[in-house]
Amino acid sequence: MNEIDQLILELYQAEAPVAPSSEAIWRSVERLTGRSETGKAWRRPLPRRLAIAFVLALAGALALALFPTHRHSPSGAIPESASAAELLRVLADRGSPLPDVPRGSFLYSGGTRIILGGGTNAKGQNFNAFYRQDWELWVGRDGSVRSRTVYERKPISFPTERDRRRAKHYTEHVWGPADETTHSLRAYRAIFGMTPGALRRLPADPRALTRRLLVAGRSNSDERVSHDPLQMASMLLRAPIRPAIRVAMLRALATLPHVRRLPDETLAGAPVVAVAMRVRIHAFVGPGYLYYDHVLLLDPDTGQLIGARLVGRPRSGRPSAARDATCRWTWRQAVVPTIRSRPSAS
Amino acid sequence: MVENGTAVNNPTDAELLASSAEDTEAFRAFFERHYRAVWSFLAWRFGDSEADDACAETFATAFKDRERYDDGIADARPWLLGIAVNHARHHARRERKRLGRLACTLSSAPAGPSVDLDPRGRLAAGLLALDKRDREPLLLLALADLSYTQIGEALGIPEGTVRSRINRARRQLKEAIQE
Repeated sequence: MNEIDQLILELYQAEAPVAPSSEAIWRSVERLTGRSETGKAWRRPLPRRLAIAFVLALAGALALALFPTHRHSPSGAIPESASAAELLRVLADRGSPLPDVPRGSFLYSGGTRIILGGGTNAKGQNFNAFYRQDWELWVGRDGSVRSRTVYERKPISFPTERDRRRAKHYTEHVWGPADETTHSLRAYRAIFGMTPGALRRLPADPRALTRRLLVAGRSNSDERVSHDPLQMASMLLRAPIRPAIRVAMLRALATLPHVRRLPDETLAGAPVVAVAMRVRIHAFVGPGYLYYDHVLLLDPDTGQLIGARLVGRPRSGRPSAARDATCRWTWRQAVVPTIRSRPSAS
Repeated sequence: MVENGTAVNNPTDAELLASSAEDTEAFRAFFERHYRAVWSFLAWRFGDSEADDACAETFATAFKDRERYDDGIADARPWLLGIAVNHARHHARRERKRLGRLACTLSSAPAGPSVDLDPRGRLAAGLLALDKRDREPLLLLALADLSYTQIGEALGIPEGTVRSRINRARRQLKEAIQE
């Protein structure tokens, strides 16, 4: 996308309005079309065959209503023809079995990730590279956060050939502490965009929640972090939010424009469903931006987030092998009693 | 696509519009498929309170004119956005007011001597100054992510004209930002 086009998009999206439910607008469409000449088409007497089909459909709907066990079972497949919004609403209906985090307990999230980081070589040249890390996060309702990261110092791949060449003269990347515990509300806010109290008070109304997601994303002071709503949602799902908010988050994502569905896939042998959004992130080195598809991988039975990835995309033209390098996360979650404990292996 | 051995149809926009003469649910499906993109395009330009009405008007017009839709074009989004742009004329005053406000707000943001003013303020002013024939194609490209061909379909102008208008608009905006 041209730089001017990108600035225009930012300018117009500055206030980030959230689409209302389709029902309200559809009622207006019906009212407007009913008033126009086209109203005839809506009210045209049904042909006989259509009427029969309608009666049969109505009977089917009644049967489904009377025998709810015959409805879409919680573990049933979601048709691949369903849109992202439809998919997210189905997952919201299925709900998340994760219990609320009691006071004094912690929400544990952990997994493996491949991230894009930066380094400086012996000649003082900057480069981007992908690193593998094992990560764990414990978050309490009182604002306590423990973050533990075990990382491989050697990059596993590079976005471009230039990065690879520059990394040959790489000395050592300066990493932060591998195991850090903080009770600082400022640190908490820097991670989640709000205080623990504000997290608990998040609204369960999807439209209001979407507004909060977008505001929280913009209030993050680090320009180089992706502020897309999917990123904010995945961050908040790692916090001890109320179970109702976990469900509302899926409904909130269903209202966002530009969220699309990807083909179903498997993650560590388990089936997952995927939704994606195109996002733009400041390049870690040098001016300009990197473009990615931010993909969330969700458990089709519970709607729980179990993985994510950022897939590099060329700004224009044909896909490039170098840019198609991918950041990936996988994780599992559980409520644990202490900031030092982990969930059982099962 | 196949689910449980049963084929699941995913009709094209043209098929939905064609069957909407007899089947109101077909037009509802068409609406559900596109309303969010149309609403967002309108909301970004005119604000969400105006977008609700303008979006409904767009789909009402689409319903009225659905028999004129070229069924050789599978994706109806350019056609819908073309209708939305026509409706946008009624809301042009609202958009000018909105851009004017953004131009003032962003340009007067606190800035130290070493910090440049927010370029978006000058961009908003530049957009206000653009000829609307140049502005519309550019906004369809930047906000709705339409291709040059699709913009031509939406506005009923040749692709070459789309390109030249967009280039002219970009050039003028670049100059406005760099002033």
